[in-house]
Amino acid sequence: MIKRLFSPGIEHKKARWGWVFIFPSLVFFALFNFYPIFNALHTSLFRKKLLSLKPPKFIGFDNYIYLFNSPDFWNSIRATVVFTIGTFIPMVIFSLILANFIISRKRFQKFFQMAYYSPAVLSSVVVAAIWLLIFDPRGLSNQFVNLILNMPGIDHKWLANSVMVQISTMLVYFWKYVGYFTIIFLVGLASIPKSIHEAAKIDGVNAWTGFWYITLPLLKPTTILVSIMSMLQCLKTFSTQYLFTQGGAPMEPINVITLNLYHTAIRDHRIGLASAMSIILFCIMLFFTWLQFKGSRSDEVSY
Amino acid sequence: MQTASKKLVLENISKHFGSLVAVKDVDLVIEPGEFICFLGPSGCGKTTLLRIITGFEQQSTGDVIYDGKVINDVIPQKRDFGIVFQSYALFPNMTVHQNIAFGLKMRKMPSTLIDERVNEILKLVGLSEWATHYPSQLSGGQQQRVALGRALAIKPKVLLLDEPLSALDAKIRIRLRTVIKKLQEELGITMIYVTHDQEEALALADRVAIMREGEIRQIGSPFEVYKKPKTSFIAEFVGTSNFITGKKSNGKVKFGQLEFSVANLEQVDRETVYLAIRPENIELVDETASADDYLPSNVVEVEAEVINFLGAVVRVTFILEGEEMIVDLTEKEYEKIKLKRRDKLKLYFPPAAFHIYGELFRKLI
Repeated sequence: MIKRLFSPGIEHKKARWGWVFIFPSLVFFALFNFYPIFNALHTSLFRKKLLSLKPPKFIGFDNYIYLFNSPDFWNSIRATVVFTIGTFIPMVIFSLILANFIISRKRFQKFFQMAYYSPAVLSSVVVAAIWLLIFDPRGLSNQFVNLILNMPGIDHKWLANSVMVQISTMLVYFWKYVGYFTIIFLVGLASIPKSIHEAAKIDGVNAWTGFWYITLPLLKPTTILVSIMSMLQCLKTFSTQYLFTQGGAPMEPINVITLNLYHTAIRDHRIGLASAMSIILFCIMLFFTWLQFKGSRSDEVSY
Repeated sequence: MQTASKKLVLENISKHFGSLVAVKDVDLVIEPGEFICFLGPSGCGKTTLLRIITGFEQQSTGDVIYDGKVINDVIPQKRDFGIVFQSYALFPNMTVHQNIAFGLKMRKMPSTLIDERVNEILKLVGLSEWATHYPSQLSGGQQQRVALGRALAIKPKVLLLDEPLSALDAKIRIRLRTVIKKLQEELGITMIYVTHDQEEALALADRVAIMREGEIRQIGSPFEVYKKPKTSFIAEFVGTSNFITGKKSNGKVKFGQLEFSVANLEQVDRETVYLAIRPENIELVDETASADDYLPSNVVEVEAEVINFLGAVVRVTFILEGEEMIVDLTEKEYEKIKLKRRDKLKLYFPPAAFHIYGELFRKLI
């Protein structure tokens, strides 16, 4: 390949320039992505204290064995899975509904797109801070729910009850990212040719049968993409849970892997163990990324 | 198989998109079982008119009347019209069988009857072997046949075709053209066909409606619009014409140094006269014929600038009084005179072959 790259000819010349252009990003990825991954993998095989001057001790897979025997880690897995399922499924469904709602508008399409997307540009810390205020016992959330249920004065303990705090983190994440995935669905919807919808109309579809038989199957690649992307996003969740626990919420129900990892590394200084956690999380995410590639390739739609 | 459908009437149809007038005062009666073509250049309003008939566009003024009933407010699903798109618009997630069956399924037809009808349609469009294939596994021509089959499956009262062959290559286009014409004749269905290809329109239609700037400029049989184009635009758009701008003088048309005798010139009261003559109507002077056979004023000697062999005819480009013109010679004539570039040839412009117009249409290119 190297020999071919340096052989004369316009194609090879172009290829050489291609390598020149991608070189900076290759260096960037190598330095900030690949190196940390391999470093974490290496560190996970050692017992190492973060600020200790003692040399790290090689312990093989002991960190992994410890984690798989640790109820605390399994709780983190549970918290992560509950959060991921509880967030990404409604997120996919609602972003699809919202995208259909927006695309069916004749006016104010841009306004709705902007309105739904705007939370996605906020920093997670800002989002968590806003929602901490909303979930305050005297905050908007209690007032709103009590207004609907017509039960004034009840505190639903959004950040205190173990079930409610899980729902709260899901709500925050849903609010922040639903607009982002709505935009992706909008792109998918816009790529379906108008003539296909018109042909379906002539064949006698109504709004529902048109969506069920035509739009949804043609959106399959986008739905898979959104599902996997939102799932990965949920698996990486950290700042909402971190800020909520800092604000006094109970740790255990929302102690997701990333939060556990942070505490293990930064608070307990057990960097080897934290690295093992990060590698397990990496493997889970890698599996879903592979699933995404597999799914999107086999479901390509050509018009 | 198909019962003759009812009359479709377009009454004073206009469509405005803001300040743009896409369709202007169209009045048209389409008889049951008729094959009518809307022919015109891009942007002339033919597709908009078709979309108004299907119900995808709402006209600004006028009525669409079918079987004596105004159907302006009837949604496309309820009009029972079929449509074939240029882009095929097949459902890529469904097989050929499912595509054709879809409209029947939506009409809640029992599945045994659906299968029967689909098989019948597959046979009709010659795709029985391809029933289980997906559209992406078919060629363009096959996909358009599926689209045609899908549109026919629901037994539409009127079938509308929006440039259905434009995306296909020349040979398949001609083959599918025959398929469409045969189907129309067999089923006796009313067909409205939109195209910018004059050859296609002339080959298929019972009547051709020539459109320009949103208006129907001429409507008639293919023979009529070709032989008696009402305007210089139609003379240019349907087939090919040579144009001459001359001055009327002494009962003739003065064109540079030439003076052509033109039939029916006495009916024109303007000084400036615009003439059109088709390349195949210009004759090669037969040197052996008697001099009485040709009016001397209409015989010109020109030099062959470009010779294009087009198969059945040979197209020769020449310059006459500074204007580029063409003449179509038959293969026999060409063989006889063994014409080469820069050779001289004598041509005769028969007085009756000229069409006289009040204005001159000129292409921008």
